[in-house]
Amino acid sequence: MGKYERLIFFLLLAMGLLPPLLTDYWERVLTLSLMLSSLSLAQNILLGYTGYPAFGCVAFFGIGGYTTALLMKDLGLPFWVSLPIGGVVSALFALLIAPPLMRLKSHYFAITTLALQLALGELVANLEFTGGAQGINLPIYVGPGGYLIFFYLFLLLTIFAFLLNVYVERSTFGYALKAIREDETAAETMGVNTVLFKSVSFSMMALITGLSGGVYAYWITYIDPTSMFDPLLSVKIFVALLLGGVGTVAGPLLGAFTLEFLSEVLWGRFPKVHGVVLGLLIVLIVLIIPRGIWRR
Amino acid sequence: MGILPQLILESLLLGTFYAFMSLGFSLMWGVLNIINLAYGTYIILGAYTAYTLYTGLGVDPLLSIPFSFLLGLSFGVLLQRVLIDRVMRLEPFMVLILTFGLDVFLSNLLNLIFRADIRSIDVPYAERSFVIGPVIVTEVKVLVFFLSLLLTGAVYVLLQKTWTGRSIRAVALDREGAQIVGISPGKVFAVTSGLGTGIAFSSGNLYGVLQGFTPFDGGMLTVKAFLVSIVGGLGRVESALAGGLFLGFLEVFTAFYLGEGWKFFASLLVMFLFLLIRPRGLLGGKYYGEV
Repeated sequence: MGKYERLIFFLLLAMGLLPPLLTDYWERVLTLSLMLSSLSLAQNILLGYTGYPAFGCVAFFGIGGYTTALLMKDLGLPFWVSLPIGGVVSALFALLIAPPLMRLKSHYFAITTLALQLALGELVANLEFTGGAQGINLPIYVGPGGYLIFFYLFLLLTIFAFLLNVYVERSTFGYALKAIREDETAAETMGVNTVLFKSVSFSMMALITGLSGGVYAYWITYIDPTSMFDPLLSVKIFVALLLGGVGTVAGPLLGAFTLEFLSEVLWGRFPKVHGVVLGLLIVLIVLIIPRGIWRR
Repeated sequence: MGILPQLILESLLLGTFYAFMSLGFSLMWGVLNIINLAYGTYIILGAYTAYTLYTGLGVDPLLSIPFSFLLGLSFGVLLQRVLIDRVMRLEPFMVLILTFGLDVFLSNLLNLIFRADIRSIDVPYAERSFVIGPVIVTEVKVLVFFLSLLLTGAVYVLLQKTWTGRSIRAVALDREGAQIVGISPGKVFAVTSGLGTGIAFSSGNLYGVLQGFTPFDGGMLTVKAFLVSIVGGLGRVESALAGGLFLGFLEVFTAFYLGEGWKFFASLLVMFLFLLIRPRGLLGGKYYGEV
């Protein structure tokens, strides 16, 4: 790890010491920021290093969340078993659809993943065993730490995603991804197995996103298709990435925290016009700082 | 026989409206190579324009179509010049995020002004219908059908017979080639965006007559316009008609045989499969848009 990366790593570890100082409100804001961080870091592996914008990445958030919830509710499995399974199911599904899906590029790829996300949401809303449009109720977490456990789970996930980003930044695997990003045909000519590498990068994104969905499901204890396959969450991930800086290890964290804090401040100050301001914010970020605060 | 003729009629009437509704989306995508995620909300903006004119001044929503068109035209040109031109130079998917932001902004603005209640334009002829042989025909649907056909025809003539239309098609075919013969792509982009947004706004008048609407129905309409464009292929009137009819049949038949709830899923599934297997569309030529 380089100097900056080590600094960020220790800052993240230090965040674990914060909770005793926090009010419930700030604990919630930080937990949300960490969730968005993990999602943005996940997307960064794909968009930042491989150059594929999975605009509908929240599809995997939903898959992870629903798998975890259904395993807990229908099979009675404990959360600690259900969550990893949720992540793995999400990653395997990604691995399965990646080869045909990743023949598409740029906005065609983006919109296809979005179609997948919306279609899965509709499917879940129409099926019986997923609870339909009414959604699923989960047991409330009782155990050591209380609700603080979710803060730590998202923190752990963020650290895991961050380390994965650092690995991609420095490893041969990462160089192959970057080669695909810069020029896929050239990469293939040089002997990079592009289909395999793209698919693995896609599954890495899906793994973290799925795990994040699983933690989120247990955190809010009630999930429905609208909240688990929300397009607004997709766009928030992308805006966080753009704001922070795509293709860097620090950018996604910076973007996610900035966006979540901005969003919270706006929510608090102007609850009625929150949506209007959020829309305006997205437009302004794309217009003014499309390359982000932290440049590659 | 039984219900079948009725379903086919409904599909045809609805499909023709969808064709006209999606024409603007398809044009913008084909010519500018942008996917405008705010498109559905443009339609809703048109519906609210017609609603306001009807409840405020008593203007029939079908008569205020030219007004909606002009409003959309100016809005589209303005957006293109102020926002989209700047972002088009970046990665194409940046336009996706920009227009999504625009969609969030516009739909929430509508919600602020009109509240989230379902609105409908209750024209006096909304309920009238008559029977021909085995089918019941709702007058208002027939009216919308003919107007859609007429307006789609008008767009066809504009694209085929006028110099504006020819330059739009030229830019869609080959941007650099068009520049060599003296067409300014910047102007064509503004005109196409204006025309497309105008089409969206004016189809909003028809949509408002057909059914109730809320500020947040735009997303679903964007998906419909997208499906019509991807099935038929981009930027051509014939393609939009083919795609529109396809969507009409898909929706009416899924809703009848599987239930209303599966309608949107069916559209999304078909859209996903088309993108995956044949992103050029059924009729798409190789030069419209790029994959």
